[in-house]
Amino acid sequence: VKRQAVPQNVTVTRAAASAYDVNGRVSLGSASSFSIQAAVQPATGRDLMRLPEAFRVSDVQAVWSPVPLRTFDQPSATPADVLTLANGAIYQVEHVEDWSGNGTYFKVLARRIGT
Amino acid sequence: VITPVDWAAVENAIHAWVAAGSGLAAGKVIWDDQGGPRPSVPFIALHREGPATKGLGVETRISPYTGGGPYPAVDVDAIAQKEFDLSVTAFTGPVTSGGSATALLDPVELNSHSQTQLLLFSQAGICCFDRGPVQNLSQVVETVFEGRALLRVRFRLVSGLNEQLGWIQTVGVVGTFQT
Repeated sequence: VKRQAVPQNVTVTRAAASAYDVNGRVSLGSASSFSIQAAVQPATGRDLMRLPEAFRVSDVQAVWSPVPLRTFDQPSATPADVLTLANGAIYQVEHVEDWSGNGTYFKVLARRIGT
Repeated sequence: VITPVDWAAVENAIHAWVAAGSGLAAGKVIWDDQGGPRPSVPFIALHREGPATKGLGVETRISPYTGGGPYPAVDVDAIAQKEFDLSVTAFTGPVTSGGSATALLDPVELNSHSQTQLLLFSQAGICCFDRGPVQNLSQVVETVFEGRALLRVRFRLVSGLNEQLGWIQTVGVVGTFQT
């Protein structure tokens, strides 16, 4: 990752799995944060085609991460990771490609959800 | 002063009714729109619409205000009859007969008529007065069917408010009063 682009400090906020109580109300999992060094570049048109239609007009960044990041996962009840970039912009992980076998990195598409 | 509806108690009573009727574990009957995970099938999602005040729906009781204060006043109590809709949606695998989504909701609907359940509803301050048919809404999800069924139920409840109003205690005349 470091040879391909200038990495920046990215804060990853990850929530634990949610669960339902005996009255059917959800109890959201607590969140924790950690930092990674990742290269962040604008997503290409081909990248955008991998996302649902409604997301293609969003601000989407391609993030090359040295560690696997999480999308929203229904079976394990874990929300998607939220990334805070060096400029303060907040993105949600929408798509992850596992290139750990060939390139020791994970390509992530993240959609902007906040300032 | 508005006496809010105890929605937590209402929802708990409805949840207990659906869980008991369907036979599903409590964690498999969920309220939707919470941003939580989708349970594995079979499960039931509950969705509440409303409430809406029906008709005039307001009865008043006026009594002297006894709480003290700088001016005379009366207490006005108002009670509104309200109605809300509940959608009970069952999700199952692509199966028929006893394991189907419609079969899951049938005993839920039936149980709403029992005297015991009506009493439990009453203790939560609600009355179940209308039950729709169990509709089969099974859908193709990607390449396989997902069993879905819908039961719509309507409830009534009352909610109240109290307001303290001033009143005219004495009337005076300035000048000459002629008849």
